[in-house]
Amino acid sequence: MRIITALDMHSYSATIVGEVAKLAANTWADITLLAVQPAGPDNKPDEALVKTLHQYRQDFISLFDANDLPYGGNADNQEFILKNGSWELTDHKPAVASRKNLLLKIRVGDPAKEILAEAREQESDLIVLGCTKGLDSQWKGEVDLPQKVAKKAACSVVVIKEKKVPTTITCCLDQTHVSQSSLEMINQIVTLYQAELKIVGLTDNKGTEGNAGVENSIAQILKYYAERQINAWIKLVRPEDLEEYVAEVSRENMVALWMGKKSLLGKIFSPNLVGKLVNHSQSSVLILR
Amino acid sequence: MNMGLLALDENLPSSIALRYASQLVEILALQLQAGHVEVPDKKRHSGGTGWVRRTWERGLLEAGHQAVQRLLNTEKVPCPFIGSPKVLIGDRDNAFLEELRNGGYDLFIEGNLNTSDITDFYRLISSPLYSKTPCPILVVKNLVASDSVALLCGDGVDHNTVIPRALSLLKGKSIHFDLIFYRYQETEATISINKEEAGSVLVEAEALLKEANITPANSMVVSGTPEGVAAMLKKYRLVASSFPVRKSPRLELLAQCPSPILLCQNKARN
Repeated sequence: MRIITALDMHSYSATIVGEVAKLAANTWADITLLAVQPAGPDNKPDEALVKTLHQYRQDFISLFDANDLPYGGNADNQEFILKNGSWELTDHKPAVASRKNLLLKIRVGDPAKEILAEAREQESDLIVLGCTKGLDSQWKGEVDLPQKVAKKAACSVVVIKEKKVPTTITCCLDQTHVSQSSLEMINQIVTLYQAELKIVGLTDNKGTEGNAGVENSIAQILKYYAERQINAWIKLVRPEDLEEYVAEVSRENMVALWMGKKSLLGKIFSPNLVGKLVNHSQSSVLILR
Repeated sequence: MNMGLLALDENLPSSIALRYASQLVEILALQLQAGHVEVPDKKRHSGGTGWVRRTWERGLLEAGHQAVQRLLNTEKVPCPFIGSPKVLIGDRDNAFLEELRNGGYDLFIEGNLNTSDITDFYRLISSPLYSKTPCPILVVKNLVASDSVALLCGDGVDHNTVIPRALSLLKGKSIHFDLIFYRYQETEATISINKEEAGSVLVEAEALLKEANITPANSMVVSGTPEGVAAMLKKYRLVASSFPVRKSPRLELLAQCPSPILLCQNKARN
């Protein structure tokens, strides 16, 4: 699993490092701590950004037990090197071949475009980014960055709301086509927050007979989570009510939407609606792809 | 010992109801009989008599037994039933009604998924089975393991009838009871307000519990929207109320409630 953590120098970014560390501890993922700086005349990494990334790396490493650390943990005071137009620092132990990769990277250019480009180049599974608390989910100084990333990424994206620990993950799944990796991703997020899981199924407008198919699919999903000792609540929602329902629950609960290519939700939620949800959600949002 | 009829079909609501009931029998004085109605396909309905009809009926019964057995085999839930599943033939509501009347059951249990459309719930409680049932009905929407039970009061609930009925089914080891008087508010956040708002209702309800040697863990007036209060009710293993007979905030509350709901009659039904 490859996780890209998009960071800047504000508090909402600092707070997600701990959550990424917990996710990494559960999944043993390859982690990239990514920052983006604007193009400048001297072609050097921004000193403040370098310092901040080093601090984030230390915060990340400090959350592991030294004996369980799957990353190198020895990149203190080392310098970033220029590689393919980006500044990189790989935290690894060449002598013992560190089991997993922790990469610190600074790209140059437009933040949203560079985050998406990094995810594309690495073929990452998940982009994690924080955002401001309150009614609007933003990065300071970058208009609508979280929503641009959530809308355009080819992989899953989780936008973590500052200072809002979710107690329930409301998960809207297209039961017919939901992928194993999406189910596992939700499992990880539920475990991360020790939250309750609510599965929202879409009713079939064909009536009771159509709903039998929906119910069978939910039964399989429930079985998947029951085997992992996760009890899930179930709610059925009509497709025409879904947008309103999601807007309502996003005030309190973290919302997970599966927006895979085959997903019916992809037809109901246009990219613009996903952006709107990310922008106006008062809780964290997980877009699964 | 109370006797419950658990409706089983080969579907998700039944799977959840089966799991829930298997937990219930461990904490309540409750025996369970599994029941299934095989609804004849109209096109295949045998109009014959004698051997032809008996053969047709045997086929339906066999199909019903196999459906229930497949569910039990899939779920592998250790739910002790008092006998082999009863498979009935005919209209689902009428067949269960007849079985409930003839079998002298104290409780009917079935699964029903929570939906966003309250007309689904209204349709359910307006069905012949719910409007004519001779005993309380437990509607299992989700699997909830908790020690607490909520007894709803006010808004058309005759607590003098509903609470003794509910207690006769629910009194068991390690169960705590909360008395909740629901007050509808359109926009307010869900809050607990002064008990005096309930008038004498909570005082009388507490007295009914006291007669049964029960002290409620909480006795409160809860104010809020049906959605908000329903979300609060999810901590309860079940929520007991009377059958709502008209569209009302309580109906909406029960429709939105994610926990199982126990519906008792306000008055004796014949």
